[in-house]
Amino acid sequence: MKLKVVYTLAVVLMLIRVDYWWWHEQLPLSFFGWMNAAMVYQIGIWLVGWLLVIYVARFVWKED
Amino acid sequence: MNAHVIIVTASIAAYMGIIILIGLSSARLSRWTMEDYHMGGREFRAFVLFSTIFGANISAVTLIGVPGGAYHLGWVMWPYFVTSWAWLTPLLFFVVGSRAWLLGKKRGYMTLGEVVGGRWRSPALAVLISLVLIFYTLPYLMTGLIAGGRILGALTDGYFPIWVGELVVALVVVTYLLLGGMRGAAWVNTFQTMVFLFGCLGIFLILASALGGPSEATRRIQEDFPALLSRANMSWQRFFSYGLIVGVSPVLFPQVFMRLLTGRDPKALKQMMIVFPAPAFFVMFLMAMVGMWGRAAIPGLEGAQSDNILPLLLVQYAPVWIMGVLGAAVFAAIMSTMDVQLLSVTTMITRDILSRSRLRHGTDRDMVRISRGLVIVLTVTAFVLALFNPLGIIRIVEFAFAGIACLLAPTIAALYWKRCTTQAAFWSILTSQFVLLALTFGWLPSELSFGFLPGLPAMAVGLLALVVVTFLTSQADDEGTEDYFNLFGTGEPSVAADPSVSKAGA
Repeated sequence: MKLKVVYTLAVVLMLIRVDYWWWHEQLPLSFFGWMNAAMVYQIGIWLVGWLLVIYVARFVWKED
Repeated sequence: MNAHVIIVTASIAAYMGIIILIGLSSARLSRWTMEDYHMGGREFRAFVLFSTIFGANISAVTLIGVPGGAYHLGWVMWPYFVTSWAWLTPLLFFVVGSRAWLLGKKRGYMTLGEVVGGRWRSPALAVLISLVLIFYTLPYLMTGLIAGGRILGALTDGYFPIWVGELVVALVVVTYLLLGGMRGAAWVNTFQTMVFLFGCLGIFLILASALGGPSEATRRIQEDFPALLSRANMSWQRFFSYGLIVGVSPVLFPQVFMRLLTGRDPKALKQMMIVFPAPAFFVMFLMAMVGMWGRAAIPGLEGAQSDNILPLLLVQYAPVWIMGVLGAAVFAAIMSTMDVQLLSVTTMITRDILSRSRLRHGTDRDMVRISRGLVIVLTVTAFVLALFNPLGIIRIVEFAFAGIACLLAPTIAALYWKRCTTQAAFWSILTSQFVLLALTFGWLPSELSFGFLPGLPAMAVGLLALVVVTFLTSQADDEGTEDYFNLFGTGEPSVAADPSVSKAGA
């Protein structure tokens, strides 16, 4: 079950990684004066992906 | 030779000297066995494992290709790589690596060909997989030499022609590989990965500061090159397809796959996997931003010329004494990938191909001697190819990564799908490779890619062929299959090497 959740989340993450709703948009540099919302969104994707990796290493991968 | 060239050359020479000394030290611990030369005795702990696997992932692409790509395409170059690779690759370390590691421990496997071929006891499949991997690893290997040549040339303001830098990289890598094999490469890579990580941070801080800080540098891009911020120069289809390719291919890179098998225990693999995403993100993020900012600072670079943007910025903005140190960081990234690429290709040639010839009667010592000879032959081949290659680094790796990514479906099937058949694995590889080559070289109309990179339709066709042929052919339901899968379950594992696939023995 845990594995199915992980694989589903990975697929969803790969799909929503393409933020096509902002693609080719000129967004304001609203964060720290040099980052726009699309950049922050991509950092969020990376962060969620990292949490998924930690979850797998801690709770899914059994060493037996 | 002016003072600038002398300081940069001396710094890089000192760095190369340290590398060779580490290689010499590791040689004292090396034994003349295939297991030690190619796998370092399979005893690396988490820190060394992380350094070597991360070092094998970080290559000329990071310090040359990514800034060069960002120069033309903008900030999108970091999510292009990192928002899939940084987490999807570690996930596959679990999916593929956990089972492959077990097979390595129990059956003495060293290569992907042995792991997949061993599943169906098919030496022909093992050879086919190794040939595919060698075919795509050679151009990737070549990018390291190209990058070395360009870096040395640019840092010394053109004093050294490109071939000199290529030759230096080739000679140093060959030297420590001949001395220490995998053990030497692992020791060197641990040092190199640290140099690289701190070097990257140094490069970013120095250049960001010299360009007026991140806000000012980005503002100039917004005014003069707004397309770099809106991702106007890249389609979402390319972004999606490369995300998949760059996320799934690294675990199958021979240089990474082999290193997954060198871990002492699963704990080392898990610790490495947890740490991996953080530095992966930061190096790509920092280098892409610097490359994009470089467009306003040094405009007018065309095509593959932009691969030089990082050294050009260093020459223009960094103090000369720091330039040599940072140049060493760039060489660290290049060599930490090249060394194990060479080692992995020689492993595949000796284990999967030569071990099926008359040479199989040779001793371990003979095979190690052959491996060392192959290191030299392969380096010379890559060196000659690099002299004539005009393509940008990113274009070379997109092609090579896609070819390797096409092997994911048969690999997963070998490790998890009992019903899958040998014929299905063969057809999956053959069809996907044909589609990739046909779309890349124009034998099929490019419209068939639907805007995606050729690697994506190739992977889809390979997966389809795997499933269809599996259900069209009869199931391989025998003791060998049960024995293979029992290794992953609670059943009694087999400890005997399969002689039909792993002829060189452990």
